Amino acid sequence: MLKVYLLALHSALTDFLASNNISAAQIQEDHQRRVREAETQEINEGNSNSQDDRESEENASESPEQKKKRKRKETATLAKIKQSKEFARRKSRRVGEPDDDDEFIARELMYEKSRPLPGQLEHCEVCGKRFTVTPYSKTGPNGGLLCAKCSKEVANDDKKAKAKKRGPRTGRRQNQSNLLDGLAQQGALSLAEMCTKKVADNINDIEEFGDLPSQLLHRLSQILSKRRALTPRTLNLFLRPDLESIDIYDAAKLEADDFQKIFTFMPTLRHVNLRFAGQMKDGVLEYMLDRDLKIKHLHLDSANLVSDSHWQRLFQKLGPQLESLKLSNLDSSFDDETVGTMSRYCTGLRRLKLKYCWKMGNGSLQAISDLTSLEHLSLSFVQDMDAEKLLELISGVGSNLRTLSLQGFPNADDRLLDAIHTSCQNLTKLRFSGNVVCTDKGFSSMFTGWSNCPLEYVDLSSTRDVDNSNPDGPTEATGLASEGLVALMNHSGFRIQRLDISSCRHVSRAAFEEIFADGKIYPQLKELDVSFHTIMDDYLVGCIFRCCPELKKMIAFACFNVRDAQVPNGVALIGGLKAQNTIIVESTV
Amino acid sequence: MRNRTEFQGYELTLHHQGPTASRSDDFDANWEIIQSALKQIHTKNASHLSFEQLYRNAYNIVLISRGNDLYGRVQQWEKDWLDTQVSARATAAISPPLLLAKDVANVQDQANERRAAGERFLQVIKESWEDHQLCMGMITDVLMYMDRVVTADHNKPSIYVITMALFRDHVLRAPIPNHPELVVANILESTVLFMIHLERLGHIIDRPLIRHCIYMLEGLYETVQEEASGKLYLTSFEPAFLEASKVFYKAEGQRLVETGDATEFCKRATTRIAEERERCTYTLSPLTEPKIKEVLDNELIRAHISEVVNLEGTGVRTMIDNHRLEALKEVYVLSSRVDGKKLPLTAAVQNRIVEMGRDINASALVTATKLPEKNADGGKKAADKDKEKPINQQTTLAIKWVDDILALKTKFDSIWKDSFESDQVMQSAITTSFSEFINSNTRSSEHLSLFFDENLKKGIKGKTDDEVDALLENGITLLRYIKDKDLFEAYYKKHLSRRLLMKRSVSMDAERQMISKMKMEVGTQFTSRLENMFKDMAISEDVTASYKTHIKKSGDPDQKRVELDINVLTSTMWPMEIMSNSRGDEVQLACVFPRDIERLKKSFEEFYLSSHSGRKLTWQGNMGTADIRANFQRPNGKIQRHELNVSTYAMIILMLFNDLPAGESLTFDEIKAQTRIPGHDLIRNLQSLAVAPKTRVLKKEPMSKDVKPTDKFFFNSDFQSPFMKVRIGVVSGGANKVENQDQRKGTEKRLNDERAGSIEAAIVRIMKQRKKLVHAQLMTEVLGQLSSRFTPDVNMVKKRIESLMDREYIERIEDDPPTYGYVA
Amino acid sequence: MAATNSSQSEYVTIVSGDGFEFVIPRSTACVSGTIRRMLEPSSKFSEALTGRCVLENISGVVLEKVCEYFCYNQRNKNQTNVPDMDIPPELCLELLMAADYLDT
Repeated sequence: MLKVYLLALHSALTDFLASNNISAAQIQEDHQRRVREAETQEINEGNSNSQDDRESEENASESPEQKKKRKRKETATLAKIKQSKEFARRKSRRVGEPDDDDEFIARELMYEKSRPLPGQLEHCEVCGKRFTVTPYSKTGPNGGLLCAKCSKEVANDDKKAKAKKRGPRTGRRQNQSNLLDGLAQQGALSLAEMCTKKVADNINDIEEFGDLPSQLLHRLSQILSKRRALTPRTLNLFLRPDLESIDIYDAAKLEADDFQKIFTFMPTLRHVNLRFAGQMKDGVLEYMLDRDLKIKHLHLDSANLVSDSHWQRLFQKLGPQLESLKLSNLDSSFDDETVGTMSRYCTGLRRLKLKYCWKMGNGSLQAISDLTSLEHLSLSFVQDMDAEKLLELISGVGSNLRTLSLQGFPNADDRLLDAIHTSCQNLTKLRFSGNVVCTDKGFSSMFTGWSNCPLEYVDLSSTRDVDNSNPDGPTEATGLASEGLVALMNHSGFRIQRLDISSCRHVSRAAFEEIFADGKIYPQLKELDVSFHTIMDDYLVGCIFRCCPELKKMIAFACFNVRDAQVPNGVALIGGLKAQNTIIVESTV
Repeated sequence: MRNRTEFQGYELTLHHQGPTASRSDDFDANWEIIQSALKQIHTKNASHLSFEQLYRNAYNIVLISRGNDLYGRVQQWEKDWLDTQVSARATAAISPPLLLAKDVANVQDQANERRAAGERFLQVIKESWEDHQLCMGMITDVLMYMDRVVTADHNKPSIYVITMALFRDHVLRAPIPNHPELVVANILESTVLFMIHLERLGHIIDRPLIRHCIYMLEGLYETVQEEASGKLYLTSFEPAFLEASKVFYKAEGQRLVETGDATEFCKRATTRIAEERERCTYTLSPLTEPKIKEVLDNELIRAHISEVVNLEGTGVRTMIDNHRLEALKEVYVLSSRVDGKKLPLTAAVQNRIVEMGRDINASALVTATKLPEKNADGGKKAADKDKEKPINQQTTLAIKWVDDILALKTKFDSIWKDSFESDQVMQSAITTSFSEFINSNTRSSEHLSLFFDENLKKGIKGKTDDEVDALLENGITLLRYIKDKDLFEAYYKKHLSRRLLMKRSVSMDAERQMISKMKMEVGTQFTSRLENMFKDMAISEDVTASYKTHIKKSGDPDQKRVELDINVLTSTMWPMEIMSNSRGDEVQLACVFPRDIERLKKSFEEFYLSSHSGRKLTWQGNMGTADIRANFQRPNGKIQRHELNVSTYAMIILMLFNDLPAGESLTFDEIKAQTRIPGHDLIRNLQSLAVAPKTRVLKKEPMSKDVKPTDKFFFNSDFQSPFMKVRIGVVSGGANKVENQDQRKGTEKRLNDERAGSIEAAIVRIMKQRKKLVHAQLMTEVLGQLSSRFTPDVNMVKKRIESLMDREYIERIEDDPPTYGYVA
Repeated sequence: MAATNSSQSEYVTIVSGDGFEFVIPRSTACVSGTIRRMLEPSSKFSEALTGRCVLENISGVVLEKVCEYFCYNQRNKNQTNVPDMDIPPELCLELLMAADYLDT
């Protein structure tokens, strides 16, 4: 019995022991010694039961009295150890192994404690040198301690071994993490992606990128930003005079000087994208303007230290040449007057995105209405806006728009949808979310008989009724519901690529069944978000998979009836009640 | 760590000046190589070109941020190439015949010339397109790096897409020299349409060649977004094709209708449909199939189907008459393409059914309608004489009527199955029509019942179970059409009662089978009374048997005892006219039975009432029969014995002569007074005893067919018959026949009384449940409840409501809208 | 050395700028989008005809690693939890350039 026990340990715990400086050989030796002792004991005691093998093995020559005493002491020690933090830690690390090893861990700790204490002198097991024991001294292959140098070597070896072993063990976790990122792709990463990561890993050893193509620089910038590794030093790598664009997704660690450097070293800049640009100050802006850059695309985020007067100067100078302007998270400046200046000077603007600019009000909406050259417009307001002003805006700029994104207009009503219906013919992307007034009928009549080309990107999430006292919503559904969704899919189903209808909670099951009926096909739909549609279940999800051959990512948070849906290869189903099941399906198919 | 170019920190700006200068050189050098390669590729000389080198050239250009310029250059180069080389070749291939006006295909020699020129031209277009496609595939591959970067950075379509658009603009839309209003695509379109026209006229054309040109139109788009709806094929060629087809089929449809042959029309239309489908698969594009189908449906079918269906002499009517299943099927298939209801066809079929049905009705009614006329102008004598025959004939006609309808039904069933693909719409149309004409014959219920009667009495003799089953089933199908099921029930009951009482049924199994079939078809309520009749018969058998044992036990010594077979009938279950003692208005007293019989009657009544106290037995003399042994004293002293099977009344009459000395006579009135047999029955019985030639047991003076009150009757001791047993039927009494006018009136009256009862019952049932109901709703519910038995007359229902109000079963509680309440 | 009738051949030769040759299965080489197009039989470029691709701007050291990647990619096709391939840091920039060039 004992033998089996140890053998099992041997196979299951070797890694663990190694990583905790417990030598397998030592245990083996101990074990053999114990077995030998047990054998002698057995001879002495006849056919004694193996039950107290464990106790007897410790010291066979003890008198029963001594033995009892020692045993009591040991039990006390073990109990104490079992209470200790270290024990809990080790035990938690050992999840998934036989449960009966409390005793084992405790004993292990006890043995560990019995080794030489830090500060004592000891001979290294490997090289034989005399050295001072420290808490970090490692155990050698035969159980003896190692000197600092040998310890390091062993540690290095361990690390490699550990790294290799970790692969499959963390796979599940990694897989789940990838799934949450919407990655369900199989097979190896592309070499370029792998190298890009490797470059990012070693960014501090790199002196320059050479003539790395700009799209690779862009990707590197993204990865470094995500890792928060874009520092004044790494920024230098991106400053190449031959390039026309700079994309820094996390400029939070950059100082005013660094921004200035960008404009110094990149004289041909046309495309500027700086996010979290907190240190982008008036001075920097002035410097930029003085450099006479041919900037056409300007995207600044969190440039809060720029004053209204300097924004206005910027527009006065660059306005006529700007084609695309994206500003976000400006709370201390950028008021209606500035927006007025913008609309006066930026006459060629084709793309405009203004998000979370706190000071913008109705005046801004009015000013934007004059920008008739706009093709892409994204607005996310913090203040409440007049519905009428929004209508004016749509009728003013709607006809050329290809993108329309409206967030933060909770009170816009069906008249807005009607205005979109009449004004817009060229939209391919439409976002209108977080509204609580527009009705299903309004959505339905917007999509019905609409001369607009089919939409490719649609986000109508969180358009719904939010009266908590009436959980089912009004009988005439508020927000995008059954009729509207059916009308949308009839209008755009053939071209739609991304659809977000999360929290459009009044869509009926019948509507989903109609939309995803047998034979219907949405050939381009790649991403679908149906979170908080509680009627969604395995059957409907199956229908969706059948109707959307190109689907790559489906988000279904809080869809409690999505339990064991069969997820096709290469599709990431995010959310769902038993998310783990999807992994099993993934890996077995 | 360093990568290639020297480039470091702040000194960078200095370094930088040099490379830019050299970079434009780099661009030109690289472009030179690419440009010459483009030409090599277009002239099919690529085998010595190194993909890698070209790819690297393009890559280098992209690395110095000139990718967009390269894109522009390639675009320009291709434009020039298409203009100078390809377009020139295409326009050169356009020879004068192709420029001729579009619709001169009919002139034969010109057609041949144009066709040859067209094929040459299409060949050139096809080759140009395929070359362009192949070369641009190669070039796009080589420029892949550029494509990747430029499409991403500048939001431009792939170079492949752009150069396809160039082909569209610079080849297909290149103007034709000397014809500024025309472009190559116009010629392509007219040429392809011309070819298709030729094929429609029966020529063989080069389908794959056209298909390839169509592939081209399907591969090119109006915009670089390449929207599926923007395929050139859909935007330009297809509308033209559909328009041309419309014109062609309009003319063809007109022509075909004018030939006046519906069968031919359908055949051609079917062939054309198949042809066009094939054309879409092999010559044009499957995308067009639904649209050309629409054109065919509109121009060929929708426009003409009604006319075709109704074509005199060849249309659906003729097809039906000649049972041309194939032709009908074609009509059906064509009709169902355009119209789920197939109106013209259903109308034609329905008309024909009703017409044929009317003929059947008419032939069955011919004599029936003649009868009263004769009665009116001819003397009563003549009428009575005629009555015998026509009535029998009518029965035969009634049965023939049923047989004819069944034959008609079989015919249309086979048409429905084989030609109309068992279509539901057609079925209900056929059913409606059958129902219409069957119900238009007021005697249909009676006829049908007679049909069953005939078959159950004689028809099924010697038939197998399956045959019998099929026969009955046929009858049941007709029953399905009959609206007034209660009327049918009345007749069936009457006829059944005769069969049962006179033991005329061939097979009781068949009778029961019939009942269960009706039960399935019409419901239990309908058959319950009929079933009770069977029960009465069974009980009566038991009663007869136990009476016999009773008599034996009681040890009646009378050797000359009369044997009694008796049927005790529950009065409510059997036909009323059998049960009632009254005929017309006169109250009929019970007839006087001879003493022996009276004794028997008493004895049975005693026996029966002893076990069934409280019941009342009424003796129906008109229904029974009797076997009499009669002795005829011949002049030579011999006595000739015959066993006579006669009706109960005849037996009573004959018994009178037992007490009469030989040679004495009784007058009609005397007989009537002594027997109290109802006059009508008496006449008939005397007729069969004294007038019918083979059964003249009595002699009458004066000898005539009529029976007058003063006529004298003698016992005919000279009665001769070759048979020992003689059956003396009662004239027009025993057999089930078509009713005459009077009987019919009686039946109707009884029926109406019964209906009134049913309606009242229904009203009370409904009101009891609902307590309060609006008039209109009450009407609907009543009609709904009764529809399975008959279609109640609305006025009758109203009258019943009023009557119920008078009798205070219900009351009117509101006037607007009229509402009734139930009076508990 | 140039393979004849190589469009059918199962193996192709990839040559580095400094003359190192790697003979690898065609399907393995086609992990690279660039090489796949290069060898596309219908286009009839010289590489497609000879089955020999000279990559002038890639050194032998880098190309070796690239070929290793091709094999690694093939081996892990349609598998989940693929462990990353080991890339020496000193090569990673050049390899990145090559990967980009080869559309891999």
